[in-house]
Amino acid sequence: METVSYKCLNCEAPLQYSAKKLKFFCEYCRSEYTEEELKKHFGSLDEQLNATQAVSEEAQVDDVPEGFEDFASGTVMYTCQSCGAEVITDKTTAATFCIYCHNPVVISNRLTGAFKPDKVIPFKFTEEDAENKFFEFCKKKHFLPKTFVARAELNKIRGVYYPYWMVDSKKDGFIFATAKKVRTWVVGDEEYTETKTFRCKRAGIIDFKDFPHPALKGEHSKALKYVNPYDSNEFRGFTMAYLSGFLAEKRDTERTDVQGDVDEELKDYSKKIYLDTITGYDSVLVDSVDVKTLQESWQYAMMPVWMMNFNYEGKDYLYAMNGQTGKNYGELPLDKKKLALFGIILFVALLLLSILGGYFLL
Amino acid sequence: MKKNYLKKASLILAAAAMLSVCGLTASAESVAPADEVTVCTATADEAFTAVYDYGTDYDYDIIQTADSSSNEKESKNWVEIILIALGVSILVTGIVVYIIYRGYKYNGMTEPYEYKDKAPLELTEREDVLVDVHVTSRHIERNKN
Repeated sequence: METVSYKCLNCEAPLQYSAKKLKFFCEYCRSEYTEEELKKHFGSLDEQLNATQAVSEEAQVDDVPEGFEDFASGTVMYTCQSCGAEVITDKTTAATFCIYCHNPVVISNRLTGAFKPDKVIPFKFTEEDAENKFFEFCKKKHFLPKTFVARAELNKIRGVYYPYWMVDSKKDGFIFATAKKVRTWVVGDEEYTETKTFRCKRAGIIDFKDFPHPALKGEHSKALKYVNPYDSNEFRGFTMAYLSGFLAEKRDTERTDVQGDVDEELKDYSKKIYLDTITGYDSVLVDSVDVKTLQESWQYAMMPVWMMNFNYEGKDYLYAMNGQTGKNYGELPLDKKKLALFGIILFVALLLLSILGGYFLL
Repeated sequence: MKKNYLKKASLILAAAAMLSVCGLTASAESVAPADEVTVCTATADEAFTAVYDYGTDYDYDIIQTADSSSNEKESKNWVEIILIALGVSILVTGIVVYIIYRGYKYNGMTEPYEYKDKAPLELTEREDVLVDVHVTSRHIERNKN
């Protein structure tokens, strides 16, 4: 399997993208390179790789021991260009590190041809930033188990480029809704209520831009959905060099696999957008909504996410942070004993206050 | 074995609620049972009237009946207050605990697409047609006191 390592022009050590400096740098000789400088030297390599078609049948792990067939069917082997070690990755890994020499490696034929991303948003938060943000976030959570907050309990946070479909879609549609306006007034001992019912219709064209949909199946899809939104003004043309020093996954879905989900989600958003224009009523009930696509274009993008897995009392938790904006998503362990105690104290305090209040009002 | 503290806490809350109702209702009844009412529990004016009228062959039974009904009313008010206090406390505690629980379970589940900025709408039709008007009325109960 073909792999690429972007190496320093001075010392041949591996280059990595620095989210702090927004440049590529060599951690051995401290040389720094801009995107333009790197393109000048490695541009031909990228073009050459992009011209080749993605390999559909990749090299599988041979000589599979009995009982490990399932494991082997989901794994692929590559040879590290730095130390020559044979390293096994899963089928969707597009960038990783050699587990022996820690050399950053981009598995190039997973990002070429039809699998070449159109654009990328580079990391803006460093690993240290991400960890600090996580611990700041934990400090605000008073019902976290005490032992959990200790750094030693956590696995290392890792920066991963995840694949997304970015959809631009022009929709033409309409909505029918029943809206009510209620007015109340009093004359003498009589209270009058007037209810006016309106039939509302809104029709128009909605131009959805950069609608993101995860291009990876599996357990992370929910986290990948809720680390959004990204600032799409910071998209850059894709070059493999951005992946150097991070992990990356290639997409495992085709457009046809997710078209239905995207249509449903865009229909829901269309409903919200049309409803936002029906104002000045006390209640609005949707009768029907329909949208049809006038024009649509799909692009494949790589987005930065800081991911952390941890295990607490036998349960696995996942924490994800948007690598561009710093938005958090994830389930956190809850100290149920602490929460139960808080509930009881709150209940007793409220009960006493309510009884006292009632006594003085009596 | 993993302990479910939330379940335990809700059971304790429910038990506390029941005990409070039983205990406080019972204490309200024992402090002022309807059959043993004396003039001491009546208001100052009523007590004065009772003492003054006792020596003048006033019909004591009438005063006693009036005091019993006022105490019954008072103890009924206490039960109502306790029941309302219990209801409010359980409801508020439940809501607060649920909000905290959700904050840990579904942390960060906010709108993933900024549709207000990224999806402009060009309205081609806007129609609001009045289809029905109806007026209802109700009599307002005034406090005659």
